[in-house]
Amino acid sequence: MFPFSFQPEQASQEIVEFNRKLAQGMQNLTQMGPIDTGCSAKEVVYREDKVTLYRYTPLVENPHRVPVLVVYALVNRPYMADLQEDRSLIRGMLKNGLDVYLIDWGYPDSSDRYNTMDDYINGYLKRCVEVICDRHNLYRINILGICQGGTFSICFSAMHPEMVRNLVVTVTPVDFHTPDNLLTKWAQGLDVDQVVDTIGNIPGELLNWTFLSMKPFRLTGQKYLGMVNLMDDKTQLRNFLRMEKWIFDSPDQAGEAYRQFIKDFYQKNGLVKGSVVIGNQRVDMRKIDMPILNVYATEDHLVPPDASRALKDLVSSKDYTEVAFKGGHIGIFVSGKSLREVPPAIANWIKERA
Amino acid sequence: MSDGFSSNMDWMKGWTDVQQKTWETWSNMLQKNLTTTPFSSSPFAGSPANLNMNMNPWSQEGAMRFWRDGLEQWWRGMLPQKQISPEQAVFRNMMSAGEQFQRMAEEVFKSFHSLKGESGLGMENWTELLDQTIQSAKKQFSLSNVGDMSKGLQSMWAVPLEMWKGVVASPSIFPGQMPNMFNSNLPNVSMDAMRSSIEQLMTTPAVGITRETQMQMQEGMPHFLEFQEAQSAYMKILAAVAEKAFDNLHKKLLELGASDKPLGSLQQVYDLWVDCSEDAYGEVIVGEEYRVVNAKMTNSLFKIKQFTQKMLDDNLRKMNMPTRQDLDAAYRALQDQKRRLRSLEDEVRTLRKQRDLAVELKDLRDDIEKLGIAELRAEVDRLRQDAKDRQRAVTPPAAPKTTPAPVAEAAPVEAEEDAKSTKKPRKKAGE
Repeated sequence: MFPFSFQPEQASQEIVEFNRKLAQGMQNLTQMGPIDTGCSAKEVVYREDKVTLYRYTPLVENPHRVPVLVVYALVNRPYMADLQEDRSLIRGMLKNGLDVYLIDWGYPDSSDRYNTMDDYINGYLKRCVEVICDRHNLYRINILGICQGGTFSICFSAMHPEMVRNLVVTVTPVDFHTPDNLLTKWAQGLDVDQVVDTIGNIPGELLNWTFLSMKPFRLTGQKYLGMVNLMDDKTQLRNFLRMEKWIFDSPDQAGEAYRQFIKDFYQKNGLVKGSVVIGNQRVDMRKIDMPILNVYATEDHLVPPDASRALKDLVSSKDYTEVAFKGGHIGIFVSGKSLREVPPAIANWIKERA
Repeated sequence: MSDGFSSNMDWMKGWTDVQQKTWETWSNMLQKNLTTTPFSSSPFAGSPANLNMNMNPWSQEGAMRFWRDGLEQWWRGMLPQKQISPEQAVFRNMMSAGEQFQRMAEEVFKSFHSLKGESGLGMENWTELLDQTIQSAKKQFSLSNVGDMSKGLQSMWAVPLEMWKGVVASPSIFPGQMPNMFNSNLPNVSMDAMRSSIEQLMTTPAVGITRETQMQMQEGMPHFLEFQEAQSAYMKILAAVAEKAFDNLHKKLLELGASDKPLGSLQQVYDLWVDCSEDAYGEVIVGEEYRVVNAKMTNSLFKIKQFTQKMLDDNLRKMNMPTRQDLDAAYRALQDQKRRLRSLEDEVRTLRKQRDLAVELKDLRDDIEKLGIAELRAEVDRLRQDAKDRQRAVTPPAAPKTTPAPVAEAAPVEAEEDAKSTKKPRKKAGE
């Protein structure tokens, strides 16, 4: 049987309808106005160089006494965790009674070219933790790391276990050499020293290209064709544009931090091998003895599940919990299903360990 | 199977209808723009010739050019700001995807049109036609055509290459030119001939006033060649992926034909095409060959960048202007100062905390003193001593313990009495 069942008139009508939707949708596109991101109220509590520490306004009268510090990756902007009202991990945690802080790493420029991982982890991150401890009269707090931010949080917890009450990591790479890690394969032959010595900071566009080239036809073609169908609906169109804004809002990466992260983590798999040295301190995973919650996505093509789950065998914590979420790397933060499940899971887990 | 497929004229008419309606739709939209936007912001103001009315809208090129160029003009009129907004970026991506979709649709129309046309095949021989179409499409991706990905279905495969061009342009001092610098698809120029010419240039002795610059360029030439070779290897991989994608599509269409689950729309055809492309691409990018080629392409690009940066720095130095090296040195010093400052701030913070603790401790000590703890202690000590003294006064001294004396002979009575009478009190010392 012929594999196409549509007729010439139907096919031509489809094209005409496509053009009509596109033309009509263009009008909506030009009337969108500024695309707002970040829906939860927050205040600045500390600034240092490009880094800003925010505290989100609690949504309950008496939030949990030990606050949570969200540590995002350097690679993208953190407002993805608070994208819009019905797509906000932050909002979910606030509603579940947590007191939430977040580090915004900012947009590095040439003057940040020599920022190292030591500057980020033992510098900015440590000082932010100290600020929160001082504000709440505590000597340790909860930390929630996202993706590369989770890797940073793990390193911090290994070097300063006395400052971390509970550790939550989400879609966090620990073992970078699992067989299904495509980014690791691509990183092996890369002369990262030459790249950093030549251009200093790594442009965000270069990282975008790397991520898009993992699935180029879907991410640069099919996705936009599908968008034509929702251009009539301004709300859906705005949501789409909001996500697009985040995807392409990639800060440059500070050269030295990028160098060490690629070499020590992607190329040498240093966390697993115990060879990572940050500043003058070796990252010893066995020093991580506080309770750990490890949330990972089962369909994550950027951080495969096994890359996250490797954490269990490396730490000495006697209170280790894993939560698997059926979804992708981004879906875990923006899908409706995940936001019904993940924030309460995190909040309840933390409260049980008050 | 519908009678509609039996006539190739239906498909020709269908495609013509599509073009006509497309033209009408966009003409109406552009016309509306002309009448609603201010004169100064309209790119079409004052000149209908800008629309290039001579272009045949029914031709593929005509329709595509109209589609692309017309909308680009319209968009610039609606959003005249220079910076690309999220909407503009999305618009461009949408245009690119729309173009791919329409090219694919055109190929589908053409294929059906030829069902009873030049091929002489009917619907009953659709598998043969499919085979011919697939083989013809694969030939478009032969090595000689691999660089020109602007035509037909190849435009879909321009996606990874266009992205790479954007990446290459951003850190390059030759924006947009790098991927085409030694395009082996230039007419009548082969890669080997290109390499041979360049190698000749590299070995030509440098002479004259610009001798040093010539020598520098000669040093850099191998990097450009290396990049071109790496990029050619990358394009060959893409071509192989495209062939595999067509094979996947061929297989899927035959399966669909056999399974009685036909595709019901052009959108479904497009989605199937994307699935086949991603599957083929996904198989290749996890392989060792792709990893090596990808790394070579990236590494050689940055060698060129490093080389051009060095040349730029040399020229800037000659003009007594700050160079990249100077800036790097300044940033390094700045970072060291920042670290030192942070360290001092941390130290001050610690000292302040210790000072605050010391003050607290002192205050606590003062408070304790105010409570008269010391006096209370002294009083307790006195009371203890008094109690001990009283106890001593009341309690008689205990009798000294005597050990039994060995049995001795009875001493003479006289001697004992003499001893008693002559015993004198012991004198105290000093008396």
